[in-house]
Amino acid sequence: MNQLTSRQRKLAYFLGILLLLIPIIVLGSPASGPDSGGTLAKLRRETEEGELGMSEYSLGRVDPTSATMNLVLLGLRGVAVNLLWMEYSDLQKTKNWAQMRSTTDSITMLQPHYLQVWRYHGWNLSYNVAVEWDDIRDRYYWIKEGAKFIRDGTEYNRYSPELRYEVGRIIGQKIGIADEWRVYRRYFNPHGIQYENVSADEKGDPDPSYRGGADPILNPEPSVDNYLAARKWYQQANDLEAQGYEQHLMMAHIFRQYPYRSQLDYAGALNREGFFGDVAIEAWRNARDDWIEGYGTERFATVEGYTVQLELPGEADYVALARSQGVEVAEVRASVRNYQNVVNYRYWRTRALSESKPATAAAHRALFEGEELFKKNDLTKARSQLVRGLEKLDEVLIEYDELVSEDLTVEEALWALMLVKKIDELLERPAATDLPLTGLWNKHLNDKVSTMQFDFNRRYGGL
Amino acid sequence: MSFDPEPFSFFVNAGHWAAAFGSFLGMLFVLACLLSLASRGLSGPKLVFKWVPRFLIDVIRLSPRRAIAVMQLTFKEAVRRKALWVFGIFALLFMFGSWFLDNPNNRVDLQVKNYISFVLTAITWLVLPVVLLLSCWGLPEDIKNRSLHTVVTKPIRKTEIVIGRIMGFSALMTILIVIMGVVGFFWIDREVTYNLKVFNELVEDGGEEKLVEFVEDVNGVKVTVTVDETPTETVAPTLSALRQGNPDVHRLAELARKQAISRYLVARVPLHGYISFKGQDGNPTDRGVNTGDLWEFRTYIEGRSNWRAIWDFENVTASDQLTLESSFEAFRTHKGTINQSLLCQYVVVKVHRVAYQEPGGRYISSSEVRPAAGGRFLADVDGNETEVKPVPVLARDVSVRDNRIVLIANPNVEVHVEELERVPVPAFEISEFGENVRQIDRTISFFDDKTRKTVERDLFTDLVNDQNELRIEVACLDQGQYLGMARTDLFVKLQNQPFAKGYAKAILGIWLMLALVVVLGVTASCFLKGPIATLLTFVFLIVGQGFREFLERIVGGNVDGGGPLESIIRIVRQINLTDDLPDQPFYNVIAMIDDFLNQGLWIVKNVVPDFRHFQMAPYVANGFDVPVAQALAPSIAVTLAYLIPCLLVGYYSLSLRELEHK
Repeated sequence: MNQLTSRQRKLAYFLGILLLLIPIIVLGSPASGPDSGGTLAKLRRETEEGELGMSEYSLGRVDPTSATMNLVLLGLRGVAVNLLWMEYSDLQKTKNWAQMRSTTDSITMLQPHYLQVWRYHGWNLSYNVAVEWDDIRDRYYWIKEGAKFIRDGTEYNRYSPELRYEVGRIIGQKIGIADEWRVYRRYFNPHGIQYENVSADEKGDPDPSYRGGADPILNPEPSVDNYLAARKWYQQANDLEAQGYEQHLMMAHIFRQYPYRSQLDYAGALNREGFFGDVAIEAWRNARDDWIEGYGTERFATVEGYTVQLELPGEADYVALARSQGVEVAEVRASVRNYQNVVNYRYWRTRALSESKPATAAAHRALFEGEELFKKNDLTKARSQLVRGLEKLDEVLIEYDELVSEDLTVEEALWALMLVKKIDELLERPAATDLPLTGLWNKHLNDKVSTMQFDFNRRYGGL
Repeated sequence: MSFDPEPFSFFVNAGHWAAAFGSFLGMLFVLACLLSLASRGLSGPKLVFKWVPRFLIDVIRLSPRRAIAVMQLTFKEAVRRKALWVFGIFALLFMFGSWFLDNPNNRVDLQVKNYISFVLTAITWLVLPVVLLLSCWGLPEDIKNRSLHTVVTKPIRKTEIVIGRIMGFSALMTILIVIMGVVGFFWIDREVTYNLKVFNELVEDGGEEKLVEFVEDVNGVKVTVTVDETPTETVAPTLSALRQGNPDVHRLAELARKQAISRYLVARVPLHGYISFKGQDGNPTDRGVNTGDLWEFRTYIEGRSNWRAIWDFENVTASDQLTLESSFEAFRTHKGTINQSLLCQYVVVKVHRVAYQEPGGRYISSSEVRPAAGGRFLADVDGNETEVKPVPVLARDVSVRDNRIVLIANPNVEVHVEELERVPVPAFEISEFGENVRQIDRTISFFDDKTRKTVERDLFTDLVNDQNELRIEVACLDQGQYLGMARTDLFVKLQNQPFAKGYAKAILGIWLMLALVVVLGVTASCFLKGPIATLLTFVFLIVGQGFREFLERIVGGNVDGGGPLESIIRIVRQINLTDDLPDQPFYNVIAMIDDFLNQGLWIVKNVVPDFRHFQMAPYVANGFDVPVAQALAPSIAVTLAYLIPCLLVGYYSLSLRELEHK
């Protein structure tokens, strides 16, 4: 039996605890930065000599709150997360958005390195929660919330190409393709040259704290177009993928096209907004160069073990590529063709080539302006402008015959022809038979014309 | 408000309680008689009869002084057991709570809900374990340590011990809750103030109306003050720089900030009405269109159609204007006008609602009544043509069944509702999940289609009917779009109450809940050991709060898969929940046993208190005052309802334990 008093025993226990804490701290202190942490954390860290990379810090930012929560739960993290998910689902069902949003944060706080959780919730906020709101400003707010949420996830998962791709997708595709894209794009980048004549209250982030400018979290100064902002995220994803951090979303040649596609989409969006000036032509030129010289020259591994690239201008290039890897030229050609088809490579190349020409821009401009005049009921001017546009488009199609089989171009031409026919009807003129691109009309008489005519009649009244 | 509180009728529930308590006493008495008969023969029941009045005598002769002495003792004992250490955890939670809750991206209106819910939840779950453990372990520990001997050997009654214990723990719990509540209140206020970086407010200053637009971000502070459409912009790097450089602007900004905070931290007082719908065919219906929303809280009316939602408000009193607030939900079947929210319109309707009564007092369906000369009404009653009299009926007494408006008391009797006047008010765009406050002036001018003239009506004298009721009809004006609504989605907004008042009521709700836990815990500790008493009280709490709905579904037979035995059979035999079981004697017997077990659950359901009544956080978090009738009254009633039986059980348990002889 020891002779110590109760107080002495307690003091002895306390000293024992302190002594034991020393090796624990030295050995087990977690890493919170590149050079911090205990011996075990340093051993786990990714080094040039050894590729361990096992510490939490090597995945991304370590949040003390998150780490504490996980510790406090004593291994019941899974149960807690399940309960939170159930609560989350109920809150979303009952449209309790504020608490749903904070539950989302709690879930990721417990599972900060679970990529699917970040992806799911970000998508849910941007695509599902946003549409629940009726006011377009609210919808935009929730779209941004989704993008910001995944952006936060990239800090916890700094080597994830997938999360960066997802941020790019929301900023690029959700903002740029949604039905409300015209408004969203003005909200996202009020300084765009195409919005110079738009009044201040119709552009800029609707959140008054941004004072009519862009949201600096998603679009820091100098603000750029949503597609170009998305491009930055896609590019970061590509850079990580190039460093060997895997993505499990899609095949490499599809995944890696997105930064380049963003440039094409940006140029296309300028045209969609009726902007055909030098800036748009320059955008198409950049897109063309990016597509052909950037994406086109990237190398992709095939399952057969050799690599291909999508831009091979001549036969000699095919031969050189095949011979350098000891493969049959025909096999390389088939693979390249296959890869090109998957991403519609040749179409985009041709489109970028043609759109970067002033003549094409002039054709688009004439057709766009023709429709605008039609809307203003200036029918005679509209008709002549449309016919001029069709003539120019005809010239473009002669030069780039590949575009004749592409939907966007064909639909643009058919739409213009419908407008002309409508004008003739309104002006009580006999139907014109000598319109440019009538051949295209006849070619698609039984497919595209009938379906497009339905849309046209809905918008402008039946023929 | 995304929930619909049920009105609470004190007398009806008191009747239920009396019946349940009477049955409980009866069963207890019979059981005691049988047990005593078995153990002591014929003298047993006599003994039971002798014991019955003792409780009443004990209660009548109860000495408040002695009860307070036990209370003080209990309180000191609880403090000695370090119950107040809970403040340490409380402080930690509030110091770091904002780490979890603050999201700089979130809007203040969304954040406020989180802050309020957090504070009220934190207080509940911090105090709950303390009072649960103290109340359940106090008596058993005293009995075990024989320290109770020092009390029971004194001239003290058992009821005084039980009441003193309940009061002691309640006093401690009150101190905890009050301190936490006050700290929580200031914490919420501070968080909202801190997060309010952008606001636009119209303030009154020196008899002038000034629009103050305030923005604070990384670039500094910008305040725009507009007077008579002339804006003046002031920029400063920080708020304190603004105070030093432009004290007047700073004062205005702070004035506007206070006003803005009072909009977020508010206790609105709604006057809810009775909802019904008018369908596409113009007939009344009790629900609108189902648009496929999983949450069936709201039903929808179709835009630019005959669909209407109707609210009948009662007790409408005259004032300068009528303030209506709505929270309708939009459902679009096509994009419509992208930049514009859905359009909604109110029509104020004066209605005359009558049921017809024959001389014998029976009500006759309005469809059987026909008008006659001289303003009389006739109906065929028992084969005779009889004159019937129209009797005014209140909105609260009717409901819609099978596309007919009928009396709730007698659903076979159809009620006649006549619209005497319809006055449309200007349409407005809804703000979904936001504030939609519309003020209707007392004098309404509108273009009357019939007379082709602009006419005026006084809202309160011309449109409120003789029963002080006002009908508001709601229409959606966008074709192909739908507006969703539930009863609580439109209300007459009465004078706002201070946030502190609503918050205090919510704290009182927590207090009542924990007081009930104390009552249950002390009672359980009178006849059980500490751990078992804790477990029992905790089970009451969990079943009464978390599983109450589930329990109601099982007892009501609304659970797929049948009772416990049927469920086991389905699992073992892999029979789908939706498949019927074979019609065989074995399964019939199983169903009967399940029914019997369900009866047991029925008893559990009726014995376990409904803790959901105490949840008042949703009201305060959504900016509403806690209604006395729907929330506070049931909470008080539930706590009181359990106090009396618990005292009884506690008294007899302590008496039967013969503590003095241990």
